[in-house]
Order: sequence, then structure tokens, then C-alpha cells
Amino acid sequence: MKKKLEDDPNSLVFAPLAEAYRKEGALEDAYQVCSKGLEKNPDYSNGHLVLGRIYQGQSKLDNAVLEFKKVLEFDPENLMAHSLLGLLFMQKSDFKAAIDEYQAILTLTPDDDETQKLLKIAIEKAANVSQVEPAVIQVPTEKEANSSGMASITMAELYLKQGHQDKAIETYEEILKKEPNNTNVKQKLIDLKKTVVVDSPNAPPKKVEPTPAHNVKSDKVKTSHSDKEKEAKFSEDDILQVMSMDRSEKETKTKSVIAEVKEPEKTRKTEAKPVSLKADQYSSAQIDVLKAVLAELASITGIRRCFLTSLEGISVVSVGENSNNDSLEKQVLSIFKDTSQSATKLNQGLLKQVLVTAETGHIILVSFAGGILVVLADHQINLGMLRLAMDGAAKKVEKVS
Amino acid sequence: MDFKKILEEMLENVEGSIGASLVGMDGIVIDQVSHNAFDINAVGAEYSSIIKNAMKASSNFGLGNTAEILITTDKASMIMMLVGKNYFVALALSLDGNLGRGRLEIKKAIPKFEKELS
Repeated sequence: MKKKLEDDPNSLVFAPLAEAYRKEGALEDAYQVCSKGLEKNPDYSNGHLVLGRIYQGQSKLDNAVLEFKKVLEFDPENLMAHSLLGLLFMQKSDFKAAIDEYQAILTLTPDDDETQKLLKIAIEKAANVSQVEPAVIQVPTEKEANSSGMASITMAELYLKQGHQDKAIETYEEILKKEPNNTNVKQKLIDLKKTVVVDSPNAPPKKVEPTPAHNVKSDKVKTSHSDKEKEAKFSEDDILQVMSMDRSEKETKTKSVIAEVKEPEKTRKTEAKPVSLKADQYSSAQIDVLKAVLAELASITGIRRCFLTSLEGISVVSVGENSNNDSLEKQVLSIFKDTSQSATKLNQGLLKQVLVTAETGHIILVSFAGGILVVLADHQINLGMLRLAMDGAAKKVEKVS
Repeated sequence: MDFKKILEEMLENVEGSIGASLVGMDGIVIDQVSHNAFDINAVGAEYSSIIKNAMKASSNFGLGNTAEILITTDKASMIMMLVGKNYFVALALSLDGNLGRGRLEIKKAIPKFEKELS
């Protein structure tokens, strides 16, 4: 990576190189590489993320916060930046700000157990700090929520708790547009629509009564805000009630939904088939996202190179060491295609991954974003961690495509 | 030469294993064992050419000789490891199979195969 950066000082490889220095504890070297890289690429969000982590390592918490906020300016859905900001705000005892960050994560990944726990802790701490003026969590307006893709199950549940069934329905429908196979949300929507039909059309919005398991601190009354403000905001209690929903209840409901909404095996198989794209079918916005996601992946110690090749064998995005050898792209593509055909012949279903382990490294081939993601890694890399990172990368790409 | 015994041992020791075979690089199966109706013979024929391509790719990417290939589909996993230059052993596992254990058992079995083949 160092040589690559020397050859091309404008390269984005500065970020993984700085990250490698940071992980080794060489924070000053990391800072030098990263700050120089950002001078040439000021809009590169992953560079700001790395710089933030360097500042964090140097205990320059305010600087770290600024960098992570810059990441979110470029990439509002960057979970890592939200998570690191949440942690920093907790360290700085700014619990209200931490709540915002954790809530942002949960709107993107509602089932993130770890963040749910952190949010609870942050809310409890915020309530302890401010007894007179309880912390109130701002909720984005409908427009903001839609434009930033923040529609989420958590958000819908919060709307429901406030009696805004229409907004909850819209939120669920928004989720289903993006995740049409989400049986849990399908069932929630069906149940909710049944409730709405039963209600009189002219009746005021009916507030859904929480079950006993959710009914926490119901005696706590907030008087410091006008009714209008109350309508637009969710209280800590609302958040806590939704977050503290009995998990077993959720799981039981999900299982029954899956059994009820279960679709024929054949249909599901067809839907699961990945869409393949030609190199010229990727938009520039998609390529930008892919570059960022692959650069983040390449920042993992031990990864030499990541590239996405289209199904015609044309490299779409490449990060890390560059071979300048198109025949290699075609070669790995051929391995993936042949294996895929063999798997079909052997009735083994859709090919998900091929991992080739050689003397000094690994080649990993994964169906990814309409093409094939190829990762070249050193032999000592932790394959389990790499798999997790690749899954995370795939989810990020899925969200924007 | 009791290849079958070595293969059976592998299957017994690996949770979720479906079948195992010792295959020549020409795709011809030397011996195989399998649970249920899994066609492990076809695996040898299908995947031997993929192993050859993977060997070429590893070499071209400067990674040295190929030692192992893991294929994951939405129904099963297949671990293949080279036995010398001319053979490979394949182990098929269901999705809930223990991949780590599978790799370990193949690595333990390779010297036994090599001894039998020498």
C-alpha cells in the first residue's frame, strides 16, 4: 500500500494504510498519512473515519467527534461513525447526543441487540442526570425520515405508541418497498390495518395500549413541553417501552408470521437469485458507494486487494494492490462461473462463496452487488472476521442499490 | 489400501457431513462414502477442473500452491484439499455442518492418504 501511495499520491489507499499504522499503534505515522491523504481527497468519508479513530487513539476526543460528524455529512447512514460517536458522547457524558446516535443506528438496523442495550443505558443515564428536564428525543419529520431512508420498525413502533397509526402504516409500507420479503413487517402491517378498519374513520387517532410487558414508568408525566411538541417528539418512556419489548414475545410473533406468510419454496428461490449487472450498468453513484465500501473492507489488516468484477469479467471497482492484469479478472470470473454451473448441476443451489487457500494467501470470491467481489488476503487473516466484514459490506451496498 | 475406512472415519467425526471422496485430478473417483443419496462421484468430476483453475489463479496472483478450496452454496458446503499433486479429498457438509471440524479431519486424513498412495 505504501508503494502504491508513493506511485500515486492521490490514491485512496492512504486510508487503509493509515488504518494499518493505527492498528499497529503508530499513531503519528497514521496521522501523517491520513491528514496528507485527506488534503488531496477531502470528500473521502472513509479517510475522515480513519482520522477520527486516530484522534480517538490520541485522546483528542473533540477532534474525533468533528471527524466522525464529517463522515456523516458525506454518508449519513455510516453505522461505524454513528457507533463511534455514540461511544465518544458517552465518554463525554453527553448522553442526549449518544441517544441520538444509537437511535440513528437502530433506525437503520432495528435488530441490533447491542445498540438497543447501549441506547437503554444512555437513556437511563440521561434521565439520572436531568431529573427536572427529562431528555426528549427528537424524531425526524416524515420528510426527513423518508429522504434519509430512516424508515424502520422501531420508528413505526414509536409512532404507534403515540397513536399515529397512519404514520406507522406509511413507515411499514416504506420498509416493505425496500424489503418485500420481510414477513415480520408484513404481519405487523396486516394487523395494524385490521385495527384501523375497526376504528371509526372520524374517530381521533387511537393510541395503542402497551402490553403489561411494555408498560414501564406509566406514572411519569411530562409537563415541560406543549402538547404540540409532545406530538412531534418521543419521550424516554416511549423509547424505553419499545426497546424493552419482551424479546420472546417478538420471536414468537415472528415465528407465527413466518408460518402464516410462508411462500412456496419455488417462489422464494426465484426471488433469492441475485441480479447480475454489466460493467456499464453501474451508475456513478453506485460506483462511489462501492469504492467507499471496498476501501473500508481493504482497510482490514491482511487484505491485499479487493475488486468487483462484472459478469463479463470487467473490473468495476478495485482497491488495494493493483495487478494491471485483466486476464486475472477473467480467470477468477471463470472459477466462479464454472463453480456456479457445477453447483447447479449437482443440485446444490445458488453459489454463495468460493474460498481458495494457497501457500501465502487466500482468494475469496463472493456474489456481490450484481457482480463478483474478489478479495485477496494474506494467509494469516482471520477468515471468520473477514466473512463478517464482507457480510456487512454486502448489507451496505444492498441499502443503496 | 483402505481408503474407504479413512473416508468413513472422517464422516463419523464431522457433524453434518454428507459425503466424502478421494478423487484424482483427472476427475476419477478413487473411493467414496456418502450418507443418503448424495452423489459424491459427480462432485469429483465436476470440481476437478475448478481445482485446476484455482491452482492457476493462486499461482498467477503470486499466492503459491493451492492447498484448499471451500465452496459454499445455499444448500451445502464442500471442502476440498489437495493430496500430493495428483489427488484431492472432498468433504460435503450440510449448511449446519461443522466446517472447522471438517477441515481439521481432512488435514488429519491427508498423511494417511499420502501414505497409502506412496
